[in-house]
Amino acid sequence: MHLKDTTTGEIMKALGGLLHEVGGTSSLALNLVALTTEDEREEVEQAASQAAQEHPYRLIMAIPRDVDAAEPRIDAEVTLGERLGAAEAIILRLDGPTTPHLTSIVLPMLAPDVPVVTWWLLDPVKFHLEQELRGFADRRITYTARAADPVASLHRRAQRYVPGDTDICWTRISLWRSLIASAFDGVSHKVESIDIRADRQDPSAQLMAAWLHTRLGVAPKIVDTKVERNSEHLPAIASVAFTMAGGETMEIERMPDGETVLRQAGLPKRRQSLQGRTLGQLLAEELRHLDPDPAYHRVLETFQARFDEAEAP
Amino acid sequence: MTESVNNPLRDPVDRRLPRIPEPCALVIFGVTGDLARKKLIPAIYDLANRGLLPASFVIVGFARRDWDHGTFEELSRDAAKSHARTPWREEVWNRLSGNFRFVGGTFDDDAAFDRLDTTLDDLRESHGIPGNAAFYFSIPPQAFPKVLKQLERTGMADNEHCGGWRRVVVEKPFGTDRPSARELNDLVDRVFTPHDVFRIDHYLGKETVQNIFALRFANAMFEPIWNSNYVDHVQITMAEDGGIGTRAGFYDANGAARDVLQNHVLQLLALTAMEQPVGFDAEEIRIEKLKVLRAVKLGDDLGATAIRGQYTDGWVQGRPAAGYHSEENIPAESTTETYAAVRIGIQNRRWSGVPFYLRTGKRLPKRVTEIAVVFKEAPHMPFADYDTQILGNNQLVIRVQPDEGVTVKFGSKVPGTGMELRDITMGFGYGETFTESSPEAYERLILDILLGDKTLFPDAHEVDASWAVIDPLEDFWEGGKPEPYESGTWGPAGADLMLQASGRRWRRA
Repeated sequence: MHLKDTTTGEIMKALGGLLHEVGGTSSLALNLVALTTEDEREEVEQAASQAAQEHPYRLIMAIPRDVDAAEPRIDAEVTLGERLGAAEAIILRLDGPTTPHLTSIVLPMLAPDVPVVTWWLLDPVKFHLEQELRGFADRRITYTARAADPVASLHRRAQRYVPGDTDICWTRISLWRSLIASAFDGVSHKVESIDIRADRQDPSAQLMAAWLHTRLGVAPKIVDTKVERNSEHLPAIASVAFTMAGGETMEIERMPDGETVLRQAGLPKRRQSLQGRTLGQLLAEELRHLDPDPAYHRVLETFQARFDEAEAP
Repeated sequence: MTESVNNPLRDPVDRRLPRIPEPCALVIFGVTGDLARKKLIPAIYDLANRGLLPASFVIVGFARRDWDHGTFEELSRDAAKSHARTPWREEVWNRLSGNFRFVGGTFDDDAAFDRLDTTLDDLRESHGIPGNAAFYFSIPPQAFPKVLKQLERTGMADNEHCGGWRRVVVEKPFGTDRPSARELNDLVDRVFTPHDVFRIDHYLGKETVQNIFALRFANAMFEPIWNSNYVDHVQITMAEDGGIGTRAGFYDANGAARDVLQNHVLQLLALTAMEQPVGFDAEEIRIEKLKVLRAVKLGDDLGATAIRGQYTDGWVQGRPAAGYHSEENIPAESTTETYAAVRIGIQNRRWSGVPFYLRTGKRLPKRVTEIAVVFKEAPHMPFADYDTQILGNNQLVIRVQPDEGVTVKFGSKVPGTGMELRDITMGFGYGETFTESSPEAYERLILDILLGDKTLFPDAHEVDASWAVIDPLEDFWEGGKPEPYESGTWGPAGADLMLQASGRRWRRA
């Protein structure tokens, strides 16, 4: 249902009407507020509809349109169970001075009492809205890899961390981390040194290094490497190698096609498969955790210390 | 989990890292059977697809076939491809590929079991698997003792001898009565250690069943009324629309009570009625479940409180269905029940005086499993009788399958000028939409076995306590004839009378 030059009241009435027609009361798990652009709309929609299979939510998608217009204007599209799958979706196109006052539009549209998650793919610094949205969001998902200067963006994130912040760049190394953790089951030697072949500019690589640093107490070295990726949302990490006290080595290397090999001294090489996930799958993983992620916080602190040390004259 | 202590990368607050088992092998006996083909191997693929298997993981098949490793792998691939829950991805399979071993032989063949032992030993060198293996018994119960004795003879069941953990997985039926179950339990607990024995009741792998814990113990509003002060009675239904299918031999020797009541239904009862465990670990849950099962008491007059039935010709869901006696390989004079309904009580303070009605049957109108907690009427109604005539008791219903979810039924005013009241239902559905992403019971259970987490597995004492409930029923029914009921109806009239006697009725599930 399309509403031209509308108000939040009309939008909610339209949504209520659609819900009434299907005759169901909805059992929503959360509100997802996505800030995006027209160019990214389809990508966001696709991811959102995939994640909605696991987490029924009300999606409020805000797209700033003609920001220079003199008059405020809101156009809205309200859908239920159509191309956005299981979500109740409200897509807003905002003209003029409405965008800076997004909060006043979003607040009355949130489903009562269930958590609020904000999500945007753009560099957070582009949106001075971030501060404002922080006020009512339980969790804030960003994707620092999309920023103009990803590592600097991650650093800003670290400086201003508030419990509930998270980053798709962290989400997307879960499988990598799990492979590494699993390789360490039954390893009793202490780690002496760690070499990560990865793209230094990828926040995921930085987070990986910071995670290993945090947990193993050894500062990993990132060897800047161009990494071929067969899926957009893969971290740009080619391999992680450990040297143990006593000289033994263990290496996990991902080939461009996803085959991942574990080489451990004294054992035949073992194969795993490590594939990139879709943005929707990553979002779904993210939405599974609606409380602050202390593990991420610790890693972010380590990253910040590492970053500051590297920058220090 | 022991590795979380040793492995510095595992941090309890880091909940994103999935639990992944240590390097291990899964040995499947009876790998040519339906269960292995349709459930176990597809579940392994699904686990691999979700990245939940260790880098070193080997599947060993054992059966009376003349296969080599490659043939076994090829057939497993077909099975996984046609029955997996998650989308097929060649690269996921490639990761499993090369990790299949097959050992051919019969259960009497010592040489075959020696070969199996060598095969597992070789994995130490070839895959870095330090002796860890789970043996899955996907075989008829008569074969259990033979296989167990072989495992004992070769030392394969011995953790110390193998240098890793050795676990065994057995499917129901766990015996056919209390003495036979004890014999089996003693044997399996002796060959392995009781700690390493996993008894599968796949119902416990279902999300909704696990949600009973969450519903009861993570909320403030249900537990205070979860007792005889507020609950009038409880109904647990496990209905199937199908007949006995190809299980004639097994089914006719056992019947509905042994096949379903003894395990699935009594487990649901235990979860519904148990006290709050001290903590959420296997041992503490087991203690509470066991207490409830031991407190179960059958009615004094079994003639009125233990009803069994047998389906006759009829129609189910628009198709003609043959009666039990017309099923293939069922003797014409068979008195095996295909339906059982029992009223039991639980002897403790919480449930004193609250009847639990349990029923299960085949060829009923539809497939549904649910637990309905029916509350007492409001102590006083300030409304006129004629306004509340059709008002029933409040109910809380946990739907286990299909349409997993929880519904609550309560009275509400009908819109209009009068004060007419009617029941309405408020529902929470895990929903048809979301089942897609919830894992199959077998995925969860296989993963738990490999991780050594026993929370969702009944132990020998629970099995024993369950048979203590079933055996007197079987004794009472012995020599009698089940009441006939038409296929496609909700069971024999006697079951309805059982509730009517106390002014109650079955909920139409």
